[in-house]
Amino acid sequence: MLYSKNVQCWFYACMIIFHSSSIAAPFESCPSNAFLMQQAVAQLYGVNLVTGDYLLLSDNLGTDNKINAIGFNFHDNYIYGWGYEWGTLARIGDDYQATPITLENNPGVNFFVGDIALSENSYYFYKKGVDYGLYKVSLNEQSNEYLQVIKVINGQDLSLSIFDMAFHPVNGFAYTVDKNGQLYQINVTSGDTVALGNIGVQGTFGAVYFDVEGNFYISRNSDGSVFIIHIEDINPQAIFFAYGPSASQNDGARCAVAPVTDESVTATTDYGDAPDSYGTTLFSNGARHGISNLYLGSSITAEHNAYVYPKSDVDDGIIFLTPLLAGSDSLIQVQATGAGYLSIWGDWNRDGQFSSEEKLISDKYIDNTSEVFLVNTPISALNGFTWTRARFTSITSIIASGGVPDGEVEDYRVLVTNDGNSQIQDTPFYIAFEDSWPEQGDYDMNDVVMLQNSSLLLADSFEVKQIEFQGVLKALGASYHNGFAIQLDNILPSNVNNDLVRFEINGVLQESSVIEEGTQYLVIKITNDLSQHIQLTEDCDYYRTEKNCRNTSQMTYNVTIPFISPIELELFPEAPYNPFIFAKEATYHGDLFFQPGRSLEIHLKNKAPTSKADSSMFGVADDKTQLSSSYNYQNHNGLPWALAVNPGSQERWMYPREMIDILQAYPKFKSFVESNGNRETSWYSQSNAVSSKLY
Amino acid sequence: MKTHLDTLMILIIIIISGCGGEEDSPVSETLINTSPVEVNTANVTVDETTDETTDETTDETDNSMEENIVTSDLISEPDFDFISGIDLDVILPVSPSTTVSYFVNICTDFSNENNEVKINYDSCKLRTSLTPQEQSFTLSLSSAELQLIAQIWPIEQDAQPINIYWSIADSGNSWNIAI
Repeated sequence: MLYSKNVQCWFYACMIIFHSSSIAAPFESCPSNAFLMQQAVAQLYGVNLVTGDYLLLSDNLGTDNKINAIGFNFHDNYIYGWGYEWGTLARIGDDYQATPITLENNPGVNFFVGDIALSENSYYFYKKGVDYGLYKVSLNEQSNEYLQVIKVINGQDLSLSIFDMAFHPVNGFAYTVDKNGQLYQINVTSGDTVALGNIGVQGTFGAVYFDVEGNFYISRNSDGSVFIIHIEDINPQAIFFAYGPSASQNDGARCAVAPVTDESVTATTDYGDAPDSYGTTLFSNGARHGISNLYLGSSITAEHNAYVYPKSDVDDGIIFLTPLLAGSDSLIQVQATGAGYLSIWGDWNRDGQFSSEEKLISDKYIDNTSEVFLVNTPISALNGFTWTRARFTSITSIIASGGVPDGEVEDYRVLVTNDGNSQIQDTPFYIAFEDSWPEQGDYDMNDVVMLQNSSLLLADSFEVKQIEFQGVLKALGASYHNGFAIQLDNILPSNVNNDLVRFEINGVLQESSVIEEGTQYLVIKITNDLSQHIQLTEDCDYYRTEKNCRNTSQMTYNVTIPFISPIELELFPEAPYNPFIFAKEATYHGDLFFQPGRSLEIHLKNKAPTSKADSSMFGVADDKTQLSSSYNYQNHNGLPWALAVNPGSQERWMYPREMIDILQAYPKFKSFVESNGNRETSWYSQSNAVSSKLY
Repeated sequence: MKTHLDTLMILIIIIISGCGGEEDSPVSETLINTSPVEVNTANVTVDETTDETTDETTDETDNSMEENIVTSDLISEPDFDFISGIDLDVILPVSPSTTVSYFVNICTDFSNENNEVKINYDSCKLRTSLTPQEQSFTLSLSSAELQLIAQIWPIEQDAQPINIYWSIADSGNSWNIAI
């Protein structure tokens, strides 16, 4: 009888498996989205862990009861879970239909904790209690233990109040978090458990997952909050990651060898573009939103990951009609598509982060409109440019980082001033250098090209209290290594409020001082070597000067210089001030001086050298500098080694390509020069250029 | 300054090209559009890159050149600094109210579409509050910046701005703003 019963069981088992395999195909690939099983009658959702956005995949899985303890099987691309209707394991394929599988030595109760190992094709499931424990069943058809239930450890010896577990993609251990927030590592071979510490949050974590990087995600049933845990940390803590779906009953499964973002498909997430110190990229758990019909402005962009400043995406929802006036009201204009809640953070202390207290607006409801309204900036906000972050979503009380299923994030660099202050913005200048001084160069004027923006902050007494520079390296057609700096003529370095100086390169706060020591007048030294900030592309000798040599690397800088004693505007130097390049120490800079280092400076025509320039270099070779007459950095024809071109804020200056004389690219430059600037004052405009000669 | 090896290589290339008997005809660059790509969802764009290097040269402009003139042949006065621009003297009006603050933005990049003024506030030359006294400023402009807008905002809920325009053709190098 026993024999015939076993035969009968195997017959039905084979029928079930054959039946299911003939109908349900496995999933095509290892998906980046997680699976979430919910409700008393099983419903299956796909969850984007990046944003918490979710989609109902099926509300009819062919059962009238729960399916729990689910796991994604990396070995065959099926989902397995415990079917309460049948009291046994069930398999789900790409048709989302559950098919029961008969198990030998079935414990005879239902389970809600389970997952499938990656190192072996086996399903592990667990139930607390002396009569139960941790079980294993092989899903490998070639195994002698195929579909046989084996108890690994008794449920009294392994006694955990847990609701799901997940296998690490590499180390073979399973991980789980109990209701008190205790993180455990389980050796499923021995049943041994290691408590890794409390993660700082509590609740029923009914769905837990891993990604391919070994990041552990846990989803709390009560509010849908998804937390990320770096299990390799000495003291692993739960960090809020995304707002996911909540439910009274949850179970999760995920292909642990998949990244959380699938870059092979169209992007569906919007990110900010502030520097990453603010939490912008996915790696930094940046602010991110699932694409929906809810967004700021009239459009929204989707990215696989953030374009961090100085790169940017397109933001069009917020206009700062006035600067943010510390301690006073300011005006902003907000355009929103759809109805949701707007929150705006501002980095008032300019520490590179948005704290929860640094808010401009909290959960302001806006319904598909454009409106102008007042905002009040804290009086403690520091003067100067800083970053703000606007988030618009259907969810309230969100924080400045992490994922939400809908809406948009937009990051803006804005000016903070005090009421009564004035901002004067200088016209943008392209500072173009030949670095062969004191020898004549080839006049392609692209050895260094720096776009320089600057602005003055005036107190109500019309005195300069602060100056800001923002620069972008546009070209580096130099073989020599050059540093870059700006001298503010006649301004003493001792008048700089060093505690409030802020210096960033590519949006990253620099620890080194930007104020050069030991100079007579204030020198703002941006870098000792421009070339260290960019990466040349293959087959290109220079940065953005050669034909067909594009380059995506960028170098920008931002400098804020506040003064201890404000300086009369009449006495303050004028834009473009006194930018210059200098030779990097211990590098070859021509046969004349070999390795001159910092003492070789190249300035705009008639600008003064700094006190660190070596005056013995003047008058050498083609240079005809007369320091006593302030006829500096010019040759015997009065020609310079550097130009300051100001095309205005609506047009960019396009410099000549490599080895192209600027006169070939801009024929009207001749008239401009020979008339001493009285004719062809717009010689630099694109309409006056020979475009094929430009980069 | 390029290395001597670079210079030598260029010379060799020029010589070899000359032997070919072809003129160095200008090559029109291809404009590569890397602006965000539209996806099927309306108003959603997918950012692929924001590299701005792709604004390379576009159409060839057939400007005639004076043969054999190079920059090193030019001569300028020793005190000419090669910088061009315009200084604009601006006088701001007295604030029209003692109870409501007024703020002014003077900007170069703006457009007027369907009676709606759109301003690129990054182009603003001056941003300040109006005071009980007139204020005068000198703004430095590019030679290419021929028009400005002064947008004056009352700092109050549902504010509406006052827009005032300046052009060098009409007003020269001074602008006395009146409201």
